[in-house]
Amino acid sequence: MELQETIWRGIQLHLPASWELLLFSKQEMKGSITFADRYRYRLQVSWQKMNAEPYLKRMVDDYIQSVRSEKPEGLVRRSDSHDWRGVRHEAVSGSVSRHLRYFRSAELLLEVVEPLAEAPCEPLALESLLPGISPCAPADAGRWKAFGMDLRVGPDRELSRCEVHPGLARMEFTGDHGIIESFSRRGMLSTWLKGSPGEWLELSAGLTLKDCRKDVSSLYGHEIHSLRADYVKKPSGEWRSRPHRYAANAWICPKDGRLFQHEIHAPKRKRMAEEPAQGSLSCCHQISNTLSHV
Amino acid sequence: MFKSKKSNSPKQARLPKKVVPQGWLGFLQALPMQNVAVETGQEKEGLLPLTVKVDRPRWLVPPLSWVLPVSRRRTLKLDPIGRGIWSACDGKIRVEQIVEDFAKRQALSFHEARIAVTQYLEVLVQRGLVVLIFEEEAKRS
Repeated sequence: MELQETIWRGIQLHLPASWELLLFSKQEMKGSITFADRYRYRLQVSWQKMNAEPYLKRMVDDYIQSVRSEKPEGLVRRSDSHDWRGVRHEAVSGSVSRHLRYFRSAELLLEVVEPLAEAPCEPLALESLLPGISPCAPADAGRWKAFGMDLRVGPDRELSRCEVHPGLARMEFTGDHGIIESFSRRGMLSTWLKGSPGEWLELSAGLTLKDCRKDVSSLYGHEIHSLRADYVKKPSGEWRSRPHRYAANAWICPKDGRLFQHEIHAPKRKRMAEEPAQGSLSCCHQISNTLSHV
Repeated sequence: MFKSKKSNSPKQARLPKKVVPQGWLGFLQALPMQNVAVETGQEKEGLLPLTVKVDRPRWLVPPLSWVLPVSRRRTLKLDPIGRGIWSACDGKIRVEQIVEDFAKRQALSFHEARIAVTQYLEVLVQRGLVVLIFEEEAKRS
């Protein structure tokens, strides 16, 4: 079974490549993500920040007791595995597995739920997947890997928006001083992309740009179009407009066939270190390897 | 998810019993079929017009119907992508196969294609251009 790495909210998951991330939470303190195969939801991973280790044994015991009292017809048994405390509830209608583990270094409680199986599906060896679910290494702090994008953001960036539609995945991060950084991956290019990614960048900004500086560079078969410009914007809550700077890169990945975009909006008064850094968005394995060494 | 009343105190954490919702298998197994009453028009600027007769609204009775010009025909223009989905609705190909073909054609993932095709089919069904035959109905017929 081919596994694929996903990184979300500092949690690293190695799950079957055919599973897709369908449901997600943006919150840092508490949330969940759900993966599905072609026919049904397969795995839900929930997280909660906790500054002290919870009584996992008691939580599991309480759960077993309540399930036994409410659904006595099913079989409830413990299924601890790889430092994960687990419960498996088997009934005529299907089975549910729940595994819990507290990661002291990240102060994170993770719960992995294999939802009730209703439709026929390939058997899931949950125990074999559990070791692949853990908080990220410190070196990968600020890294996100989902929806075909592998990106890195600074420590001050907070995920403020994430929209996923057919042919469009876009993640937006806000930083200090009103900086907005976004990453997107767009498909179905033949239906909407007229012209080059550079021309599209200028149009898609939706702003009256001044002092535009365009550039095209080639990197391992990827033609990267960049645009730097100034514009004036009235920030919310302020009565006067302020000069801003816009910096964006866009390219079509020859392997993936989709358009990748990385853009930053930043107030001009800040020193412009806010440029799309090379390697902060990777589209494919090749560019990921090369850019990380640039 | 973990229930926690006020703080992140470990004592208050509880395992909930709610399980994530179930899948969409039923819809993938459905057979979409074109409404035979649909009239196909002449393609213009890449758009294919499809026209279907609709029932008269209940409130549209004389003398209201004499003065209100309510059309009894509804037209939907399909773009090339929509035409591909429409032409696949032959009552033999399952939604799953249509999604798979669409995903291949547009280089999308399965679920991206599923959502796009499902939404499009919903519009076609609402407009009366397509009917969906589900497994039980197919067996019965």
